[in-house]
Amino acid sequence: MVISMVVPLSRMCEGEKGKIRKLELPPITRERLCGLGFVSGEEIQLIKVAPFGDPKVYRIKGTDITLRDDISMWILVETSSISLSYASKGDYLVSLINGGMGFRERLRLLGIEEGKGLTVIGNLGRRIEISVKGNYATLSRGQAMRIIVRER
Amino acid sequence: MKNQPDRIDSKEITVALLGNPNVGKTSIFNSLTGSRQVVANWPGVTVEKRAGVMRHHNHTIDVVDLPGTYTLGATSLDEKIARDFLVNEKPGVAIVIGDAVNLERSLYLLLQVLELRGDVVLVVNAVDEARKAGFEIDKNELSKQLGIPVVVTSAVTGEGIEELKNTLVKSTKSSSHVHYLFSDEVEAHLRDLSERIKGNPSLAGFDERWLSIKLLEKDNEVQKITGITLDYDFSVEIAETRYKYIKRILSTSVKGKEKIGWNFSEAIDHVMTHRFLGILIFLAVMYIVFQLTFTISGPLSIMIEELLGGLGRAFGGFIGVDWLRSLVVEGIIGGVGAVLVFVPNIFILFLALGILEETGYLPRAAFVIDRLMYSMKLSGRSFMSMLLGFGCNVSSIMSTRSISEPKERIVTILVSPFISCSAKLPVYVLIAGTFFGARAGVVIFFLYVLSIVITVLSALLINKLFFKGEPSTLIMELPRYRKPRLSSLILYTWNKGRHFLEKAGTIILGASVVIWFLSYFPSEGTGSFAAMIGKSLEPLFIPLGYTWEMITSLVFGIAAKEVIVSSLTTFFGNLSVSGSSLGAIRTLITPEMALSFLVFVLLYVPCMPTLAVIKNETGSYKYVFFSVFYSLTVAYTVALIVRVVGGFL
Repeated sequence: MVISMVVPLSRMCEGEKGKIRKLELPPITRERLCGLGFVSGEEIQLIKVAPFGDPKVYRIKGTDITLRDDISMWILVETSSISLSYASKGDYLVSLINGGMGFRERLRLLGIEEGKGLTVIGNLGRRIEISVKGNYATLSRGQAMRIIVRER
Repeated sequence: MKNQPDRIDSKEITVALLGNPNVGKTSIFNSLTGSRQVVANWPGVTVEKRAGVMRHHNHTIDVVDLPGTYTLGATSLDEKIARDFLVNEKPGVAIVIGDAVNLERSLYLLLQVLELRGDVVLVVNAVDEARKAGFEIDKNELSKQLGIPVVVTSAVTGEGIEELKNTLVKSTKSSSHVHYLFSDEVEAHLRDLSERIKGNPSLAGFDERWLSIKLLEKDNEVQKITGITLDYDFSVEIAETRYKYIKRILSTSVKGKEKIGWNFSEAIDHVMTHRFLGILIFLAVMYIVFQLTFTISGPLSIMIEELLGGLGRAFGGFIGVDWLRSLVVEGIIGGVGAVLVFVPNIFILFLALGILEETGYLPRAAFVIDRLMYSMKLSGRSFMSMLLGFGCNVSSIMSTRSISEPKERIVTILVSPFISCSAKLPVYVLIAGTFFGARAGVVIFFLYVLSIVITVLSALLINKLFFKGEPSTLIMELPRYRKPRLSSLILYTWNKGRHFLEKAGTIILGASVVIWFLSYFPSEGTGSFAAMIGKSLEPLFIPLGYTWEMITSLVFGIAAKEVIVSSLTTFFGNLSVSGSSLGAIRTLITPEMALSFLVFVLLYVPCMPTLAVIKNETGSYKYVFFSVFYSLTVAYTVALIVRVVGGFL
């Protein structure tokens, strides 16, 4: 079963899609964003992260809009998937891995593959503890950022 | 030729162009007016105003290109200008230009215009691109649904432009005012508010339904005009209703679906904004722009200088009176030269900027570098202007025209004079070479680092002083990549270049005559007013230890920084004791005073042409005075610190 989650737009991962729920922004900013199509129910996708991590490019109503995290953190989106880095304890399904062949290969050795399950057993501090088919593994935050999971 | 009746049946109306940024509004404007256009600023603000005249079948129509906006909410300066123009000037026809590829968002602006007034024409531009992408726009259906004339155009192929002109001369005075309905609750509020507004005679000139909608959206300006402030906010619901209405219209009037597959813009973007390649490309583009602006224009500027030098000598031969000859040769022809040397520079700069803007790379560049500039509370948009400052501050300030946010533009304009321009380099080389010999390179490097540090600190301080320390926001569209068109590039470059010549040119020429006067009377050189100023300022500079000759050269340097070199060599060359041209100065001041002098040269008052463009671009002398006093204060303070600290070392 897929449970949708509400997360700030800034926390979406490259390539991920979501539906806008709410803009918790001052009226002036909200109005400008409304004119660009940021209204609730609208589908939005994170297209690209700038070289230094911020700002990010989002696609909404067919156009690409750049927003900094200082604004996008106040836009709440409903998404069925989140980055593993933000996942709390529980069972998840891996829906997307952002990375090259090497990264995928290393994850495959741990049993993490797109479409397969994993369980988060601890998410505190700098590392994330998971278990895959009974095997214990830890991932760094950077690695976990690039793994998109869905709750199940 | 036939005897034409003197345009008897022509009627003069004004047409306002509105539209989202990047929909090709300027191209349509160019197609309508040709070269009959004037570029100026909107009164009191830094936003560019383009107006032109369209002639069609004996009709003369004034066309005003309003700033590109996404809404009519008056939350940004651009929106406020567009809205005020519609409300106060009441143009005969309002044209809303939409993007055929992204009609949904264009119609959002259209609906807001329709809430405000009638006599609106919708232009659906870039229809060729929409066809390529695989969808067809049914303009008759669109026109029927909206109840206004709709013209489908392509500024690239010229399709629909004649039809638009025909529509404009016909479509005046239909005064149809289209309304669409909100939810029952909102409509009930709108009826109530309309009644309240009707009772107020001072609001007779406004459309009461529009005022009511704006009140429900909690629009600040309208709250002020009407004196009504509601404690509920329907802005989200109103926006959603508009989009729902648009979706319904589009479902019947746009056919076909976007082809899925290889997308040109996306493919380019993948490289242009790539984590590593993106930065490399950014640096390469910046390097090319810098080189184009300053290296290619260099020889041209020298040619112009030599040409005017020759002209001056030729004229000088004819004039017998000494002071008059000097006025003509040095004051006027020299002043004209001071303006003209910028011409190659400015024109090439705007050609390069025009290409970056038209292709759509400029916002990508801002996106790539934004994080670095954010630490200065600026955005990526100001990076290129600052970089150009290393060549020339005039180019740097002129290039801020591409920064859309007014706050950010002002900060960038005010701090860019601290970026060490190329005219200061000869001063560094001369003084550092004389005092520090082999370590001159280190000294010059220190000056460049200091230049960047002061620029960053000043950006933060000025932001705090004028704008309460709020960082500039970055809500920026990355438009589709487009092929730049030669005709619009030429028009763009010519308009901006001409603007510089007319406005800044006159100030620079005037200043040049004043400076000539100061250096010529009552007697040339050491007896001049300039030298007197230098001498009378000497007490002020005792803490820094500068001699009056140095101070005088600083005064002259306000005309142009490289003049400091020539005036120093004139003064100290005569005093030369040890053979080398600047030998004398070494007996007068210590190395730490020399370093402090270099710091002073780096930071003090911007040169005359720079001050002229600051006035021109900010539209206010307030910022010119601020720039002068602020830079003097910073220069004096830092130079003093350098001298004192240097004395201990």
